[in-house]
Amino acid sequence: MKRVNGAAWVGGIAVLASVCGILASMILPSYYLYLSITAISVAVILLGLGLVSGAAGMIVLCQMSLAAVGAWVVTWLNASDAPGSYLIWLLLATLVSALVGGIIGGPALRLRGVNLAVITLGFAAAVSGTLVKFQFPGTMTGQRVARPDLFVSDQGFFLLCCGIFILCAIVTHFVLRGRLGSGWHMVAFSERATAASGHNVAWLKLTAFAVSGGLAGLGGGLMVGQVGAAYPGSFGVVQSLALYLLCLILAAQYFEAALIGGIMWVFIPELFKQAGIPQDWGLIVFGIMGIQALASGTTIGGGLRGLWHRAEVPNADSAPIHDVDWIRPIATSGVLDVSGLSVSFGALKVLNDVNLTVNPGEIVGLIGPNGAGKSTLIDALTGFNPRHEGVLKFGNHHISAISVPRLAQAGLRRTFQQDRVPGALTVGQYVDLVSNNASATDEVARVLAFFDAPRRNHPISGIDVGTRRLLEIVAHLCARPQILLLDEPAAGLTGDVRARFARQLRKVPATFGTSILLIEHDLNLVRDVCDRIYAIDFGHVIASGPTQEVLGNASVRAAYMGAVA
Amino acid sequence: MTAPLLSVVDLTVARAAGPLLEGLNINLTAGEVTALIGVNGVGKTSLLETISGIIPAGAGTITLGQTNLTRLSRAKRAHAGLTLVEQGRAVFPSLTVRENILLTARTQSVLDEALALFPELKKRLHSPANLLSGGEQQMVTLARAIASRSKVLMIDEMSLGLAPVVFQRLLPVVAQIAASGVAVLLVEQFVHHALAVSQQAIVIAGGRVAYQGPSQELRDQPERLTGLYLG
Amino acid sequence: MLLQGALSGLALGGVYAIMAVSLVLMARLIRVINFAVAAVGMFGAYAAQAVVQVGGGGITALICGALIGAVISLLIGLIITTWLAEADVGARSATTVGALLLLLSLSFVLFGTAPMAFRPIVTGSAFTIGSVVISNITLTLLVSALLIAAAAKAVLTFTMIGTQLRAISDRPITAELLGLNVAALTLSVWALSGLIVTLVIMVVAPVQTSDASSLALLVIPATAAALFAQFQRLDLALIGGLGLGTMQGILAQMSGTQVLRDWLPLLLILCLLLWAQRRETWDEAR
Repeated sequence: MKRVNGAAWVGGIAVLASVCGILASMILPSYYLYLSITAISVAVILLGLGLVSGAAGMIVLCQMSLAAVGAWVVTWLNASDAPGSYLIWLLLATLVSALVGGIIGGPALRLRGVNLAVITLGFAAAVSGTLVKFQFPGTMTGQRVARPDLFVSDQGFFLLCCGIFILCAIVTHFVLRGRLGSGWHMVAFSERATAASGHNVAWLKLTAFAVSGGLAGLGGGLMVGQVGAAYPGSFGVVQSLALYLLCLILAAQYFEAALIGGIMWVFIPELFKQAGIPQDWGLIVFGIMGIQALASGTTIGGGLRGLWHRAEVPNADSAPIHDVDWIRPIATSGVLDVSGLSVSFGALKVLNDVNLTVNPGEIVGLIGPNGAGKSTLIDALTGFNPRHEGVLKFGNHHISAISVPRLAQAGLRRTFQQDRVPGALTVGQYVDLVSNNASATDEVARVLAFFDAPRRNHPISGIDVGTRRLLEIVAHLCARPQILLLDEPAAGLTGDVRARFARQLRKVPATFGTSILLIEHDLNLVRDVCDRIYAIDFGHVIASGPTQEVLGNASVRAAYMGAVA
Repeated sequence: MTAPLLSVVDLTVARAAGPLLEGLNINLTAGEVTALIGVNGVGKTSLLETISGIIPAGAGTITLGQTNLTRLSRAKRAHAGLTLVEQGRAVFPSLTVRENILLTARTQSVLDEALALFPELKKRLHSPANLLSGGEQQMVTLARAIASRSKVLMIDEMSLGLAPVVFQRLLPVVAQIAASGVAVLLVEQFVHHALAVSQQAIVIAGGRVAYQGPSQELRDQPERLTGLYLG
Repeated sequence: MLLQGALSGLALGGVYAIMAVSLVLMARLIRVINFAVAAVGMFGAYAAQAVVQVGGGGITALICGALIGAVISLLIGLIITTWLAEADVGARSATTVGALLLLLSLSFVLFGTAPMAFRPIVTGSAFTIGSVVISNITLTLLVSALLIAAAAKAVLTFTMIGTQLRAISDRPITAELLGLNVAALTLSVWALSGLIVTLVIMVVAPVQTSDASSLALLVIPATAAALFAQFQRLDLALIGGLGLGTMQGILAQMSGTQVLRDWLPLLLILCLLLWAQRRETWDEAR
């Protein structure tokens, strides 16, 4: 239901924007019309930066250089008298700069955070230096780029830019709300959690860079069309840095924020100029706003969207669900079979010859004091610890050498002890992303209700940590995995919430067809939920068998409480 | 009955998810070891973090001697005489053993005093702390705490990841520290050992203080202890 | 000829090296990449020159400039320590980008946009070997770079303050719990960095294209050198900075290498870095 409404809203806004654009082209004096063209071109570039930095969380300090690539393509095609006309060249510029963006994304696969920032900064400086030395094609010969006949006047070109921006806004809006955008937000938040949901981190990063580069090149091409030529001064390092700050202030992945950014870029210096104050005060304003945004942790775009979400009418509450015998369990052929698993970190042997089995339809517990090696076990089983000895079998396949995403896709899923649920998404986006759309929308809604989790359109940022961990479990269950490894899921749940959780967990194998390996400290929960348990201490399995038996075992008690002195 | 050195009144220990423990009243006396026990996740570490200032208190007051610690920064609480030995052997990995202890010892004589209890460290004095074994690292943190001449020492899960024999080696040191006049709060999952070395015991279960009194009573009633602890 | 180019590049190489040492230290000790390190120096140098223009003496101008640089750097550090104490290194570093732009535009407003004619502090040639001249500036900066790197290493290794700083960079919360005044130590590093870099820029500015942007963007080769040192090793920061300057000097002497001059350092650093990180699959923190 919400999706259809969303499309209707976007369509409405697009129409409204088109009307505004047409009105503006008729009303604005030519000077301001010209500036507005710049504003929209910059808005397109800013939108791209918002996707790669705001959504995908990577620090990119060379966006204007990518715009320069687009400008270069257009001027070169013009200077070489290439076939086609401005619009075709614009398209080519977009594609080429998307490609260059993807290439810059290559280092991003191995370099993170500020290391990547430094490389992009170096790239920006190198591009700027080269441009200053060689100038754009056609500059020396004075060849100007001609606008298409249809859009040769300033009004016409302004309408072209409006149309292109509206198109970009619509496309990026839906991409952001869809699987790709959710994937970007997740990569920004936690690479491990992204891989554990079956997604390829490298692919997500590269696509973010490519899309962002494409938008930058498109904006650069528009700037060329506006002026008829390109000048290195517009694409310098300082411009890229200022654009990055603007992106931080605005959360420019939202199209309205990007538009505001474009307007700010042009009209703040313009305001100073009109007041007779040096235009450099514009940069000062950006610098101050940037520092303020970073210090307070808020963005203008985020604030606007927050207001919008608060105004949305929430869906009516559906009746609480106590039983889910309508979800068909899938065939349970998956078995986890571990023999002789050993993991060492340097000289320290963290796991020593561990044998463990989980059969279809079982809930198996794993208990042990802190530091016993339980999380290391899960890491080794799910591909996060490729250096281990021993035989790991999942449904008769050997899985020791298989990557994390592939294991996740094959039905071997895990949750994390730390909070790995990104606050930037809604419940629905997160569940769809993690489950790879394995469950239909109404099924997901009922699973959410079954676990007393919030509804689809609830933003995760408003949910407390304990419920987020629950959400992680729900999302993985919706992927219909064969086995789910839970790493201390009940931490952060108290009282009757915990009791209810135990009841819900108990029903999981029969309802979802998923076996569970449960790591827990809460021995009451373990007693209520598990059929049988393994007790581990210092990397060894010290006891295994039916729950009551193991809990009554003297050496298990000693491991937990120390030997009786 | 000697006046308590550290006094916690009506304390609320809160994390992002909500309050973990409320209305806590705890008194620590100089020269005594108090064992703080309970299962994982119940809030023992969070309590220590609240007292030392790592997380702000939800409500209540913390007093050390005459000083109200509740609004003070972490460093100021340390200057007032409070030391926390964090969970997981919080040595500075790139510093040598000597440099680690010198941070609180300041002078060679204090350093020697602290090392007197740990002759094993003498030959590792110039090793970077990250190359030490778990037991040696724990000795460094204890030596550092001794060298700081604090009045109140809180130790979080000293036994974590340590072989039992190493843990046995370190427990008497805790008793010695208390004997020199320090109030020690010992958080441990190895219940029996903690009770053996302490005079007072506090058991936290189900979000509240389930028992606060002489350790001897719990030592004498093991079934009561198991019931409180394992549920 | 190439040798002369290498030697003249060594002057700038000394600047890169000193800034790279500062960047590495701040990255290790304070968890921030200080993109504004050169901008602070630029602003202090401009302020000093302004003092000269209103009639102040050379020494007065020098001291004023250095102090202004120290104070501005301290202010940036104060903002980060107060409001971004718990933020990640990316947010903290982005703040210095904001400071860079602020300082640049402020200098345009206060001192104009025309390149400043700097009064030279160090002049003349130190000595001549055959046909090769080594200027005093080159010598000063080279010796300063070596001294500063050595002094930084010595302070960190042998003094109590150095031990405290290393402790803070290892585990800041544990350091606080031991009673260390983390804020005071951190801000001292900011101030000292501002002081030293301003002095360095004042020495080199007279022989550089001295418009504000170029000076402020000297940080880019410095970050490349610091990246080469993986923001960890002081010796590699020194070598990286000096090497980069020398390479630029040599390439400047060779004709037909205009494009290479811009791109070679970046590509080299990139390859070295990727090779060094080839085993890392997962983001350490998340």
